[in-house]
Amino acid sequence: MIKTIKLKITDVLGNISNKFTAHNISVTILLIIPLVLLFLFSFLIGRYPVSPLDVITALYAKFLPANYSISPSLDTIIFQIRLPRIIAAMMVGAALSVAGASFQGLFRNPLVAPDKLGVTAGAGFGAALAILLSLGGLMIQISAFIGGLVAVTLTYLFSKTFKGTSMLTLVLCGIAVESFFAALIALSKYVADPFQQLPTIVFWLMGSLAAVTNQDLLLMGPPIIIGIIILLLIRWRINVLSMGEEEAQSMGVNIKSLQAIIIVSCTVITASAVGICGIIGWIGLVIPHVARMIVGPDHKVLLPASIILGAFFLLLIDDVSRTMISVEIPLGILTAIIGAPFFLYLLSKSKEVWA
Amino acid sequence: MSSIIEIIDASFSYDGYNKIFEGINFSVEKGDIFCILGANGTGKTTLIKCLNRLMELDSGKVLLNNQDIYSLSHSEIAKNIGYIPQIHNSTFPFSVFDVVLMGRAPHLDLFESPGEKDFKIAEKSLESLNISYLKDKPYTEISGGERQLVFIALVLTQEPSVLLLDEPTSHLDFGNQIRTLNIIEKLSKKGLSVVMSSHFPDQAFISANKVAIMRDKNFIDMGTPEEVITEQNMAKTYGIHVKIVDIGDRVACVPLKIK
Repeated sequence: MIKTIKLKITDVLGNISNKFTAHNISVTILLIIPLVLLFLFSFLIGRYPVSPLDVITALYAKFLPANYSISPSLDTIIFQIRLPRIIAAMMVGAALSVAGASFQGLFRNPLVAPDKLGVTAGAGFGAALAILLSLGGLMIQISAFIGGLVAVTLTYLFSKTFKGTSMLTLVLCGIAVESFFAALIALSKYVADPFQQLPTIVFWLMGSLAAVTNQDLLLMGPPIIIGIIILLLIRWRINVLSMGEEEAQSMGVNIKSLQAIIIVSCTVITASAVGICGIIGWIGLVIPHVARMIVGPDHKVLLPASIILGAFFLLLIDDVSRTMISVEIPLGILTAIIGAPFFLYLLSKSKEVWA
Repeated sequence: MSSIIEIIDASFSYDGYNKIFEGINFSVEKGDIFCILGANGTGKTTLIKCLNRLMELDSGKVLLNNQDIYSLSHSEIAKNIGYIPQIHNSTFPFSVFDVVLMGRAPHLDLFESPGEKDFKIAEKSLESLNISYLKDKPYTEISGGERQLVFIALVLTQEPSVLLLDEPTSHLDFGNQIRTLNIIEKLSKKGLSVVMSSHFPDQAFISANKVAIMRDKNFIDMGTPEEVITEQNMAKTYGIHVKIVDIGDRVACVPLKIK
């Protein structure tokens, strides 16, 4: 029995590695190892001391049939508090990175981030509005999600009104919509009650995973996962699309529908991610770059690598935010403080020149 | 012989009023090399792009193997027609092999990635143009001439029966121009039909068996190179005087100095 399973696994792995160039697949698999280690390590961090053995027995008892149980307090710490937060960090990191990598391919521009069409600003305003109306946590998330979708829809509709809709018009409309919603966010802050609502809005906009619950994951997880799966399915076609619209069309690609699939998936992914944890910049821009430096520009390998690296990076950042000082540092601040210098360092090291 | 591609009474405009061309008719048979000449801005590129539906005609028809191309999907067209743009750059430094592999796109489903069979076809295209040594080089770091060859390899990977080339020699050095024409000729001998535009009437003598001259929204002449590339036609088209001379193994079109 075990032997047949082993055979099947080697079979599957063999098939996969045939499809990739041998070098890149092995690199992608290697990337998973630090992620798994960090995943286990992240359970140990926090005020309540948990030993590595506790984590392993708890995970074992939960997911595999075992005849011993763990203490209720340990169960709460691990499964109600730390696990959702760890999963959320990995999911959001993966989501923003894969959306960034896809957008960079779609717009043929390595400097594009997933918020380019206004999704982040729209989601930010959605959340701010919900806070202004004193709605609860769940409504803030839903409102953020809807705000993101509305902003991108507006961008799309505006770009439709211009003759010859190209990707460039779309980006230009995105910039306009983005600053429009940024102004609405500023307005919400201005009219907010300075003692209750204003701090909530400000903290929400800076991004945090401190309050994530299993319920949040159940709500926002499925759209993120579905979006990621769709992008993974079409990832080879992003290569073709990145050669230029006319070229892709002459190679038989239905560019309109492919562009629509990418934009909708990325928008849903990003809006859900912002819904879970607020606005976290830099990841969607930086991680695809880092992944490209490691595995090369082929989106077939780039997208999985971006997912793994993005999950690793945000989990690491969240661990740092939990432990560095006695209060939590907002994630948006940390990703920029750590991400920006790291990015500049990588650029100085890389051979690629973006002319 | 039945025609592979036929264009009937075609007209096109960008804005609905000012016709770029109208009433154009021609047909291309198997193994033909059809060369479209004309001054800058006469609509040669536009006409070529209408043949594989990169642009849509205002009126008229394009028939591919007697089927209206407007009834075909982009992937069905791409399985039969390959298009090589004037000049091409990529943002991302894909390897040459990855670029050539993209030619398999019309043969794969939306969710599919190329497999073993596609790798073999891509490798064969590289071999047929003698550029297998470029395989692992970044597409963004090879020369313009090499990039042209790689794009031809990509298009051959589509396994088309028609090649559209938009001024294939415009950005190449003297030697690569003739080598490209030689490749086009070899491909036509293998049974591909070629439609290309060119700025060099002399090159039509080297490779084409059919020539048309585009001017004032239509073809002013069409036929064999010897019939069409005449001193009168060249003066009418380009406003310069040329001499058609027999140089031994072929006829050449040589421009004279403007007095």
